[in-house]
Amino acid sequence: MVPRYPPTVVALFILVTLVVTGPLVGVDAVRTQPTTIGDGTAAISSVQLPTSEVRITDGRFGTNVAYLRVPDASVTVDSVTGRPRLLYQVAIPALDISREDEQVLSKGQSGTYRLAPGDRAVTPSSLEREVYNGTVLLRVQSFEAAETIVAENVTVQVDR
Amino acid sequence: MTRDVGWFTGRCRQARKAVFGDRYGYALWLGLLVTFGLYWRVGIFVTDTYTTANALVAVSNGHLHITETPYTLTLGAQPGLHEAGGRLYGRNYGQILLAVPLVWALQALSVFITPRLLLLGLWSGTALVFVAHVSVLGQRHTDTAKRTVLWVGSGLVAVLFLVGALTATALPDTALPIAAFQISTMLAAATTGVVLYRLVGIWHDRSVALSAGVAIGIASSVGFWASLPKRHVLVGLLLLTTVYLFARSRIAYADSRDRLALGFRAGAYVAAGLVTWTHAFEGFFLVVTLALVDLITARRNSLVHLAIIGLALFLGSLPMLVTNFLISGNPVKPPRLLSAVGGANVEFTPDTGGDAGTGGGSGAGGSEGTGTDGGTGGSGGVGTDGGTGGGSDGSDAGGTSSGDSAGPGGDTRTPIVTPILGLFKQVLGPAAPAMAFTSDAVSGGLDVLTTPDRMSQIFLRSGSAPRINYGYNSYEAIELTMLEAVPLFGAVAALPVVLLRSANQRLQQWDVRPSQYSPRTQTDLLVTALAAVFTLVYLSRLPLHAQLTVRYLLPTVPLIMYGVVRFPAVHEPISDARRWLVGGYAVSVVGGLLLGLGVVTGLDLALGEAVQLHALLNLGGAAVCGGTVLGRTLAPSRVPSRAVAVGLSLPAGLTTAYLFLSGLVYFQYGPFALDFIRVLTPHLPAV
Repeated sequence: MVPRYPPTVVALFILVTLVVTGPLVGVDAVRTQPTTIGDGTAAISSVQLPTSEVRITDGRFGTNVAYLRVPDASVTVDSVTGRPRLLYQVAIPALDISREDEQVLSKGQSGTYRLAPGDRAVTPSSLEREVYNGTVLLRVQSFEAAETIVAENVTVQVDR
Repeated sequence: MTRDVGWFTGRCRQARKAVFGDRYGYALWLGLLVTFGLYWRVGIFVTDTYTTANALVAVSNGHLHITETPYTLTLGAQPGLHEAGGRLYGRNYGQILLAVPLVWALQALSVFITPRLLLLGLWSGTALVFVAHVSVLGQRHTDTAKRTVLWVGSGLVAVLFLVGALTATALPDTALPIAAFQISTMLAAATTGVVLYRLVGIWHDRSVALSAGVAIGIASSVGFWASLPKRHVLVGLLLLTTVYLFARSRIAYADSRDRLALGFRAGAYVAAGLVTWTHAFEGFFLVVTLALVDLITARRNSLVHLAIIGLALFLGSLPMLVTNFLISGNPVKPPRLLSAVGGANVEFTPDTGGDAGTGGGSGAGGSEGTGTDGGTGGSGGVGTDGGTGGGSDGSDAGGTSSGDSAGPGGDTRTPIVTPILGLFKQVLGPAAPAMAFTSDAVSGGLDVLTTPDRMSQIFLRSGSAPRINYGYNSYEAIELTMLEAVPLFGAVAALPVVLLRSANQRLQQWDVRPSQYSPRTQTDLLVTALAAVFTLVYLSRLPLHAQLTVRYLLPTVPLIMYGVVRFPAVHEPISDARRWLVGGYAVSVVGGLLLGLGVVTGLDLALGEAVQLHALLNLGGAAVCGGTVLGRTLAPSRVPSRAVAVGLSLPAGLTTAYLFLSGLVYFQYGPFALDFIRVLTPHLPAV
C-alpha cells in the first residue's frame, strides 16, 4: 500500500527525517553555530571599510534625533582555525557612544562577511560641537591571539 | 477497528466544525499560523516576558513560584515579579497555564526529535494540512485542479523543509518553553482571526467574513504581536469570543430559543471571567461592560437566568480565584496586587503600596497548596474554595456592577458561613484601592480625551512624541500610533456619519426598547461599549515607551476591525469587488516590501527612520482608505466598489509588508525559528 496523496507522502518523508535525525537514532543533522569566542586565528585577505562615511547626521522621517552613521564593513577571511571572532567597533569617546558588530568564525568558514553595526541614535541636545574625534577598530580576537586589522582615528563631522 | 477510526474521524470533524465553522475558517486558521511562523523569532523581545517565561518554566515543573531562572542570570530585577510569603511569583497565570500543555508536548516530542527540527517539522506539518484544504477550496472557486495545488504546495513545503533541515542550526533546550509560550500566542492570534470570521459571518457573506479574518491576522497589529508572548493578544481573543457568544445568544433570544440563548449567554460570562485569570482589572472592566449591555438588551432576565449567568461568571473566574488563593491565600488578590519586587513599575494596577497584611498570614496556606503537584493542589484549592468562591464572586461581581450581578452571586452562594466572614475581611483589603484605581483610570482617560496633542500622539502621528522617554529604546522612534499600526482604521473617518444616521433611525423608532433591538444592533452596541471602555481606561497611561503599536489598546483592535467591517461602505464593496480587493492587496504587499527594502538600502536608514518611514506610508494608506470609505458613505452612487476595494487593500497590504519587514529585518532579538528564513536574511539589507 503506497500512499498517493502528495501531502501524506511529504508528511511521511518529514516524519522519517525527523526521527532519523533525532536523539534516538542520532544521525547528526544540526550544526552547532558557534556563538562564543574560543582559541584560534583567522587570516584576513581584504577589508572594505569606508571610514570617511562615519558621520553624524539628522534622522529623517520625523525621528527628531541625530544619528551616528556607521558604514558596514566587508571582510574577506581566507583561513580560519579554531573559533576566533571578528570585531568591528566605532566609538566617539566624547559622547560616550559606540556601535559594534561581531562575527564568530569557525574552522573552515572562509569567505566574505558583512559586519553591520547599524546607526546609533543620539539626542540632538547632547551635540555641542561641530566635529568629534572618533575611533574605528577592526580586530580578530581569540583567547590566544588578538590582531588589529584596522585602527584609525577619524574626524566625525556633524552635518545638521 | 475501521469503525472506531471512522467514529474518531467523525468526532474530529464535528469538533472542527464547532470551533472553525467550516473549511474556510479552518484554512484561515492554518494559513495564519503558517504565516506567523515565517517571521517567528525564538526569544524574548519585551523585558516583562522574562518574568512570565521564568514563571512558565516553574508552572511546567509543577509549582507556581519561581525557583530557577533559565531566561535571566538572576532573579529579582525583572519587571512584573511579585512576592508573597517569601516566595517570588510571576503574573498573567491564565496565559501561562495555556502554554503549559504545549511546553510538555514539546518536551515530550524532543525525546525523539531535536528541538530545531521539531519546530521546522511542526511548521511543515501545519503547512501541509493548509495545502490540503486550500486545494479543495481552490478547485471550488477557480479553474485550478485540486491535484495541481496539492502537488505544487506539497512540493514547496518539501523543498522548504529540506532547505531548513540541511541548514539546521542547534537550538538550546531552554528554548523549548519560550517557543511553547510563543506558539500559544500564535494560536490565540490565529483563533482571533477565526472568531472574527465567524462573528462577521453571522451578518455578512463569506467573502466579507474571510477578509475580516485575514485582515485582523496579517493586516493589523495583532500580527505584530502574534509570536510575542504578551497577554494582549489573548485578552483580545477572549474579548472577541465574549462578543461572539453574546451575538449568538441575542440571535437565539430573537428566535425564542431561550434555552440555547441562555447557554451562549452563560458562555459569554465564562469567557469574560477567564480574562481575570490573565489580568484581573481588564477582566473587571470587561465584566462590568458586558453585564450592563447584556442586562439591558436581554429579552429575559428572570431570576433563574440571572442565577445561571452569575454561576457562569463564577466558573470563569474560578481558575483565577484558585490561583490567587494558592499564591496569596486571598482569592481576590491577584499577583499584580502583591508587593512588586525589583522596583519596576507595575502597569495598570492599583497602587496598594506595601500592604502585606493579607499576604503574610496566609502565605503558608498558599505555599501548602503549591507544594503538592499541580493536580492535587488545584483540586484542593477548588474544594476549599467552593464556599469562599461564592462569597468572593459576590464581591467581585458586586464591585463589577453593584446591584446587577450581586443578585446572582447571592443565589449561587453556598451556605458555608464561617470561612466567608474571614475572607470577607481579606476581600475588603484590596477592594478600596481597587475602586479608587478604577475611578482614576476612567477620569484620567476622560482628561486625555480633551487633550488633542496627546490624542494625536496616541492615535494619529507618532514621529517623536514629547511624552515618551525614548531612552528606553536607545532613542529610536519606534512607537507607532494606532492609525500608523493599523491604517485600515482610516475607515473610522466615516464613523460620525454612520453614527448620525443610525441615531437618526433610532429617533424615528424611539419607542422600541433595547431588548427589542435586532441582535445585530445589540451586538454593535456591545462592541462599541467594549472598544470605548478598553480605550478609555488605558488612555491616561499613553503614550508610553515599549508599546510599538500601542499594545495596551491591542484588545480593541479586533473590535474596531469588526466595527469597520460593519460599515455598509466597507462590506458592500468587499463582496462586490473581490478581485480588486485580492489583486490590490497582492500588489500593495509586494509594493510595500519593495519600497521598504529599497528605501532602507538606498537611503541607508537607521531603525527609527525605517519604522517612521512605514508610519508615513501607512498614514498615506489610511488617508486613501478613509477618503474612499467616507466618500462611499456620503455618496454611494458616486464612489464605485472597485475604488473602495483598492482603498481598503492598499493600507492592508502596507501593514502586511511592515509586519514582514519588522520581523525579518528591523527587530532582531533571537534566532529565526525556521532556518530556511535564517539563510535568506543575510541577503536582505540591514538597518
